[in-house]
Amino acid sequence: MPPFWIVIRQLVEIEEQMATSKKVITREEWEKRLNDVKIRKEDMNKLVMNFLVTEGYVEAAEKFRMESGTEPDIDLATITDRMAVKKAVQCGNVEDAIEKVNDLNPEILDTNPQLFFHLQQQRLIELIRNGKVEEALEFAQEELAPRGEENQSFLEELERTVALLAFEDVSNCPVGELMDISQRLKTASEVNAAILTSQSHEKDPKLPSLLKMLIWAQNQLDEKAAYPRINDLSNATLEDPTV
Amino acid sequence: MSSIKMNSCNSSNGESKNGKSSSLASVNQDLGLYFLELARLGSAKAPTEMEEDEEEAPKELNTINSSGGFLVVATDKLSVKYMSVNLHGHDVGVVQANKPAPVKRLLYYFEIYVKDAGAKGQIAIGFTNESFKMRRQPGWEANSFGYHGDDGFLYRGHGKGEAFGPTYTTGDTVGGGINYASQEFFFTKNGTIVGTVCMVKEIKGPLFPTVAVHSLNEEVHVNFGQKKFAFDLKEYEAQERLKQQMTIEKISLPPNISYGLVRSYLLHYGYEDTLNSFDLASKSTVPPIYIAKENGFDEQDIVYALNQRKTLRQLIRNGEIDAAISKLREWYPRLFRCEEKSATCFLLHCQKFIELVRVGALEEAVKYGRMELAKFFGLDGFDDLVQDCGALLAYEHPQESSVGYLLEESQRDVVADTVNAMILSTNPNMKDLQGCLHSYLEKLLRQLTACCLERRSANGDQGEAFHLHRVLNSGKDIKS
Repeated sequence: MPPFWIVIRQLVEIEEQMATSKKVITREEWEKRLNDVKIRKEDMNKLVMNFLVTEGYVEAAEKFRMESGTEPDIDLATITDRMAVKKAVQCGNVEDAIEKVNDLNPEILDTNPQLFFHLQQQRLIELIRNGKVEEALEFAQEELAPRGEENQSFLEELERTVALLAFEDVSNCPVGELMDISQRLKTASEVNAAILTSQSHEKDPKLPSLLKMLIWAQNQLDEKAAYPRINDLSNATLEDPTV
Repeated sequence: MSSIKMNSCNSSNGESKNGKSSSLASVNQDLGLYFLELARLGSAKAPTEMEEDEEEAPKELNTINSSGGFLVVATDKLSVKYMSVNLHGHDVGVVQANKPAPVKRLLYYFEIYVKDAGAKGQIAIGFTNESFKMRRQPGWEANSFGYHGDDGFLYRGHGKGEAFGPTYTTGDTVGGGINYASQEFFFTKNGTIVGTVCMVKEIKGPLFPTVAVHSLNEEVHVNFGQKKFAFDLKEYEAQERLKQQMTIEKISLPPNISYGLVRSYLLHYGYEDTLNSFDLASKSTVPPIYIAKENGFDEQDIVYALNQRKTLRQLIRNGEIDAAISKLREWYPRLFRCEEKSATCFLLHCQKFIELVRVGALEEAVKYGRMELAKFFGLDGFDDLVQDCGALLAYEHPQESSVGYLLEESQRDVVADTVNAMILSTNPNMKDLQGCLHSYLEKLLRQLTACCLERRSANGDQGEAFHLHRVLNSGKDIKS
């Protein structure tokens, strides 16, 4: 084979490699790009305020308003009420929570049958937890059963909850998870979200979504280029590209 | 750090005992320079950040580059009519928009209204590139796509079409769009999606919105968005965003990561009161939040001088610049070592001047300016701000003037942030100077922005960029 064929073959191979190999962005180049990004301080403050407000850190939000001059995107007084409801559910005072929600805005429960059912279900769970068997049965039949008739999934949930009564040791039964603290937290965050929605506020803070977006964007860019990544979000350390 | 200019410092006062401390001092100067730029961001003369995303969208039909002779474009440049009898496949009346479809966005879309389907209804809507042969139907040639009215077929790159959607005729409104996120074309009829089709990677852009008529009296009106679309583009866009959002929301995060980042942000900027409230509240949440050391949060460096940083921030935010300067002089004398070149000192003096103007003490302001600001004039990077400060004196109502930004609250914040960063830089444990400038949160947001930009440029500049500002201000209309 004449030597120039070999050369051409090699050239073709190099070209193929170039076409498939990813672009490599060095640390220096990448840092330059990072420095060119403009992030406004007030926007970061807003992001932090949004977190404090949505997560219900009312005193911290108030302090942050004073220290940074950032205006909250919601009336801070409403946070206190919302957190009181959330806390009541977290502590198992569901009746109290329902009353507080209705004081806040009666439409919230009227327009959210599922939320109302979950609160009633939580109330039933608390009655069972406290060993009030008769009261629990009465409550299930009078308050929950009629709702179950309206909705198949409610009925299934009701049956699952009432099943708790059939076991001596509820923590070790097939539906024992209902007794877990996580069930309270789930219900509490559902009420929290509903109240926020009723106040025309997003139910989740923006910061976690942005962090997820960062992970997503880095994964997407991985397909196109090798570049310095941030793998540990907690200290934002830039790691050298692996080639 | 090599790119940062080193300011020489005549250490005649002999404070510089060893090489290390003097190099730190000069780097401190450079950190201040970073804030000089920030200090003028509010100025109308400063470059704005979003300009780059503004592309010109098509507004009318291109009357020069059309297959003249077969069709007539009306004087409004928005309607076309086929005026002769078509004889073969090379006398199509084609016309492109005056501009290609903009690419730096999520979607592009335009519509046509079929006024008259003419003799045969051989109307087409589609996208073609610059070198398209203007006597052929869009879709018949390479680098073109078209949805045809007479058979409802989609043509992509050659004369043989494929079944796609319904036919369309007189009275119908038909739309063509590009979805840059999913890399698809989509077509609509009377406000409803007909179908989508993958954009071929090899297609050579930029792509022009294109319409074609091909039999006697066929008449079509084009709508580039001047009139309301029959198709609910806003809703479609919201749906597309939601789809993307759903994918992203599925990603899981380390526990309490947002909490930890907010905490380190408060520490970084010295928002001590907020931090204390935040810590107190998170102890009483159910379940309580623990930020364990093994979680990776390395806070030692940002706890540094927390109370002093808080105090100085408060003073500056209250406009008590003299008090801030004297405290700073007392606590960190070495920040004043080469005062005449220090951006931090300069920013403090500017702010003092601004505060004097704010309360109307103009004579005192003039005196102060001559004494403290004039000497910075002529220093690279300082001039513009000296000039803007001076200009404050020229206006009866400086708030409403072009230099009114200086009187805004955010200006005090820049000075407070500068002082904060300078104090952080005096921490002997500070390994990374970037750490004085940017909180972890900011570093992550920068990384996010850079990744999105880089990905877009790898995609031929197609799609949206990420702007924190936009994300934060769009939330008000999205309720889920």
